[in-house]
Amino acid sequence: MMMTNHELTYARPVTWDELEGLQKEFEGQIMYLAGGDYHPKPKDSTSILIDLQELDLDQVGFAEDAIYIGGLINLRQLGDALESADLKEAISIEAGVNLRNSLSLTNYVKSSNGRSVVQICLNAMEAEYRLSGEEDGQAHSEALKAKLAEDFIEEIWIPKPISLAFASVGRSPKDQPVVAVAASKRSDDRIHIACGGSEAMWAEFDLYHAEGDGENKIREFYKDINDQWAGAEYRQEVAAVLLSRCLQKLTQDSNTKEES
Amino acid sequence: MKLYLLINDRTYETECRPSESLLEVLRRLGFLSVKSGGCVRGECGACTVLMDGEPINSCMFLAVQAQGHCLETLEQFGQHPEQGWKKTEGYDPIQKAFIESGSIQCGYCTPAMILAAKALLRQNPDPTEAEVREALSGVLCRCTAYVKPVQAVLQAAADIRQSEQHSSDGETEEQVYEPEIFAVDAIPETETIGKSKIKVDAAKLAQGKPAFTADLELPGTLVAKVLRSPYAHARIISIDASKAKELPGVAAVLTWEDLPRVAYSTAGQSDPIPGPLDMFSLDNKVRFVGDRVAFVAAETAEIAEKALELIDVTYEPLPVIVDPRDAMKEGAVRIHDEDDYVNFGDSDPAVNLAAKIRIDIGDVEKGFAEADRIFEQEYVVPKVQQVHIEPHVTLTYWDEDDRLVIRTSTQVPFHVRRQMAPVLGLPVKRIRVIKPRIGGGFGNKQEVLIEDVAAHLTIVTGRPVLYEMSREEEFIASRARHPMRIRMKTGVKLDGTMTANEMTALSDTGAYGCHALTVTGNTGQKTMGLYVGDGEYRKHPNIRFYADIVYTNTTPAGAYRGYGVPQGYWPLDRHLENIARALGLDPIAFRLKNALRPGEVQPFSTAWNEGREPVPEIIMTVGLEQATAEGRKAIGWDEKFGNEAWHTIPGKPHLRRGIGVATVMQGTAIPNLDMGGASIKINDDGSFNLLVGATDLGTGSDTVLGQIAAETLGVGLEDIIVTSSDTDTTPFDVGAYASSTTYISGTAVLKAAKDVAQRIKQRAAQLFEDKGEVVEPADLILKDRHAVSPSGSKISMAEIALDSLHWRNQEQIMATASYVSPNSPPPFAAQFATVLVDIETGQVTVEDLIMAVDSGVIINPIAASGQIEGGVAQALGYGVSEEMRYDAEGQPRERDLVDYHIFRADEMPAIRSIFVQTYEETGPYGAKAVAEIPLDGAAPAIGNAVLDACGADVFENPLTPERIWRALKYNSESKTDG
Repeated sequence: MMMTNHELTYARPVTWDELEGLQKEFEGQIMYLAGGDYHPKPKDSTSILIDLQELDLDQVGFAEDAIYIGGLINLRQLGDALESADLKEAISIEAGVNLRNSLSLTNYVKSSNGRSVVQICLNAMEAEYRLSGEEDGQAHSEALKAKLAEDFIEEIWIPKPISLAFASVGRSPKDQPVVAVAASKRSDDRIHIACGGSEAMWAEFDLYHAEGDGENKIREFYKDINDQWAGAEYRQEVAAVLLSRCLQKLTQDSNTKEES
Repeated sequence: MKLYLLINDRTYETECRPSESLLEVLRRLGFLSVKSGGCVRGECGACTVLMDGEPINSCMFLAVQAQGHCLETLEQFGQHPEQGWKKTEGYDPIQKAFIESGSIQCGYCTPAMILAAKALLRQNPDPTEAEVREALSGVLCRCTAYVKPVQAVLQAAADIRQSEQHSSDGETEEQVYEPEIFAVDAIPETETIGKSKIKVDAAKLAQGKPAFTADLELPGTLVAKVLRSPYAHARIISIDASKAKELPGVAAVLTWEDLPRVAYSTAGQSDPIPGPLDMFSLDNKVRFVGDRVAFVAAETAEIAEKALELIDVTYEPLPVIVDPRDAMKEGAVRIHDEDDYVNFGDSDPAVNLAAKIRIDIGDVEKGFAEADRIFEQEYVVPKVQQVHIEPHVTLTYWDEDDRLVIRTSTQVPFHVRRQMAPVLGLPVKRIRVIKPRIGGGFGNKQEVLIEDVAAHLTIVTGRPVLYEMSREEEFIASRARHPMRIRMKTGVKLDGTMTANEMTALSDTGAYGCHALTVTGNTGQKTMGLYVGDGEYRKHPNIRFYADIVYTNTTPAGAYRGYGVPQGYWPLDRHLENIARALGLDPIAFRLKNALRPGEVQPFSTAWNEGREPVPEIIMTVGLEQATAEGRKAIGWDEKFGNEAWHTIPGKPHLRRGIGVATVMQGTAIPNLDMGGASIKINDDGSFNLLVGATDLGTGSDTVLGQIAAETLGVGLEDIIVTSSDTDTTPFDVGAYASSTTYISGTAVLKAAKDVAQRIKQRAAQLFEDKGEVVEPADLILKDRHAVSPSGSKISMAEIALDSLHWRNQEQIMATASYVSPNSPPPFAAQFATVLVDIETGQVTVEDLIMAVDSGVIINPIAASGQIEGGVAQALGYGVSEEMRYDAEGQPRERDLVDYHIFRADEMPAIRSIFVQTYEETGPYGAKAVAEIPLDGAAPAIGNAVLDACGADVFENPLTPERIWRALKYNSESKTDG
């Protein structure tokens, strides 16, 4: 489908070849419509809107070592795919039902910041993102977000096991948190921790059994995080509490699985 | 480009720009049930539609993305059951349940809620309450606390199951919508009063009919946008709008150089405005981030926004005052240095003083000297936003008689007309103000805030102009609750007798002084006036209230439901709690010991009346003791307070439970000032038109006023056709504020209805005589649409109407009445709260909020309980999550409903309302006010419950996790005990 008026062309390619042709023809003038977004607005330089909805980017695939997720899946579908109660809780904090049904993962990642709890969970699970036309995936970063301003996520993969513990503190049960911690047990027995709670703050680190509880590490991350939402001293103390709760939860989950 | 959309099972072909949102296109196609909340990050959900059966935000998709998908809007569902000869299917079960449950207050989010519920019930016909709350979590509502909408969805689910025979036993559990009501006084039997009649506007709102300001689409309408200041304080050196004016599609650009300079106040209040005139439509100086710089009207919103970018402004930044404590310091920059500033009272712009209050009742120093102990503490309350889901919106146009029509979402249509006339250079008689349905106001639409923007642009272009604020504009550039820093000093004898009470407030009015004096006056009047002391002190209370209300370079403060009173109860009630605990007194008994009792003078009535002469007032109905007793029972106070076992959670040592109480008083209208009018006329079939200037902003006042008329005229509410708030056709009314409508406008309706009833009886007596039965008019009663004689014989209202209009000695039976009250009988309430505190993180989870209220006789219990629930939910936000903050440069931090968090359906605590009915002789059918009192008690009750849970004594609200954590960790904040 392709429609044009004097200002903008709208195209909805149904094959990747068709998409490629448009990309070549309109290089530098493209705005991708990758599912629902916060008030999508074309830029002055935009001459074509390429709608990606017919390209099967809303699929979920399960492999032995990972779950593969299309970049146009929405937050609700993400929760359904991963079947993690803690991720669902994070999604619930992030957005009410409508927003979950509307916002695509591509656009969510593009606009996420250090208070975005689903992103913190994805970071803990070491999700990797493959942008259009790229072979390799990359971890979440500010550079990835910057690229997404003019690109889209083709696929996200999340290495198994999907074990996740998440804890946060906000002003109300569904408020964006001022401190948030997510922990995920990886197949090599590492525990990967991601934390946030301030717009500009992303932090991740690994814990190994030998290293104890990681309290000092997490305090270190928050030592200068003073902003309008909370002070550093508070965040340091509370992050340590939340981390210990996440680790406890992972241990409990692990014990439960072993018992069953 | 051509677009094909499948909407409600029909394909629509339309032209659209590829960049148009689905929301814009749906509204252009006439699907006006889809609303805009002006939100930034899809957080409000007012624009919900179903896409392939799932609720989505239509603002988050371009219309072109929706092609090929199945869209559903509320227009698809249900029909009014009465459409003449045509048989209809009637309402959808969800609509029906929303209507019957009282779920619809302002009704702006109702279409979105019904669609969200529809999607849920298709997938899950037997949802749990938690699942319903989850389903509604994407639609923010500021009116209802979601209590009744959740009940409605559960009821609809049950009804659908039963109709489809999904239910195995064929029985469904009926939801109970009615609140608990306990009588204090004897209440006379009535037919319509005291009954939960369905709101007169519920049907149209449940169907998403085009009832709101922006729903009227006039040909050739221009869209207005406002260029706003990026600086908190600056002089405008130059503005070059030439590029903007040249942009194709731009119809007008206005700067301060284009408009007459007229000083006015945006505070929608009676004449004379009790505050300074310090505002201009456009000025050569900006005083806060978001202040107006230029107006643009263009063919589309997109063009108007582009034009704003093309206006070139040179600013000279000036020093900024953000902290009110700096405003009156020597050498502070002067925020209002204009020569044409108009003072009111003690306002003094030279020292950034917008207003000043000094009230001394009795001998306060003597009272302190007689005290055994004196308690002092400073408290801080934040600036908060009203967050009505429908933003401010105004449509202006010249009518066929060249009169300016202002169709606007306002609480004060008559004040808009009077206050806009000089600003626009038009006489009052050339302006007509129409208030359609309002999507919430909560005081923020008591401001005459944006009507001038659209009106100036209509005057300059001659075309209709629509101006609708965005959510960001609402945060940075509308009005908010005055933040205050309040010092309490209280003298008490060891037995708990208060000997003197002093409140000193520093109130921050922001950049303009709208409501500065009157809001802050209420902070003292309706809080400190509740506690007179005991024994001899009751007769001669010692009370002091001093306040300075200062300008800062922040968003102006103004009216917000509660009108200064919530600011007073946080410090006062938290202070009382601490005193009770320090003296080892029962907190409830201590409050009641010192509280006002029936037959006593409201002490502030001797000293204060919103800038008018005070008139001492005796308060006759005080149901505080009964309210406290019922609330205490309902919350289980006696089992919980002081019971250590209840405070702990087995296996979770980091969690502690707590219980708290706050007792509060509000006002009912402004005595000797607020006035309302009403007209009633009879129609051929014995129905009546009721015309009122009163403004229903979702509160149900049209319904309540209709009930008063129906009761008096002996007809059903369905026989009263209520028309409100059109300055051309309805009588004057000050508007919806100060909890005045039921009491003031209701009494006007009662008076008019009594006059009409008397005339009806006279004609009925004549008709009885024609039939051979001689009766005195005074012996007739009006009941069940008939005049009934002492013998039991009847003449129908329709027959009386036909006789009067057609048969003989024809006349239009009608009456007009107005009312201004010398009284302001206060409602009283006891607010209870239970909380769970995580003492390791400081996070507080509010579990239960119960408010027991004496609002006199409750005219419509479901509507009144809806007011309580919604108000308590706003107060909950005031208690734990809501605040507006600014950085050192005056940049607002909160600009959307993500950062400024209001509670969603899936996180709301249990909220319950209880009424204890006194009979207020001065009110219509014994009624007092109900609308504002729920705002007063929740924050301090939660604060007291947190203290009870874990000893965290927090003096600043909201009770953020960090504030609680700090109070627990350091516990060093000073309390002076002399």
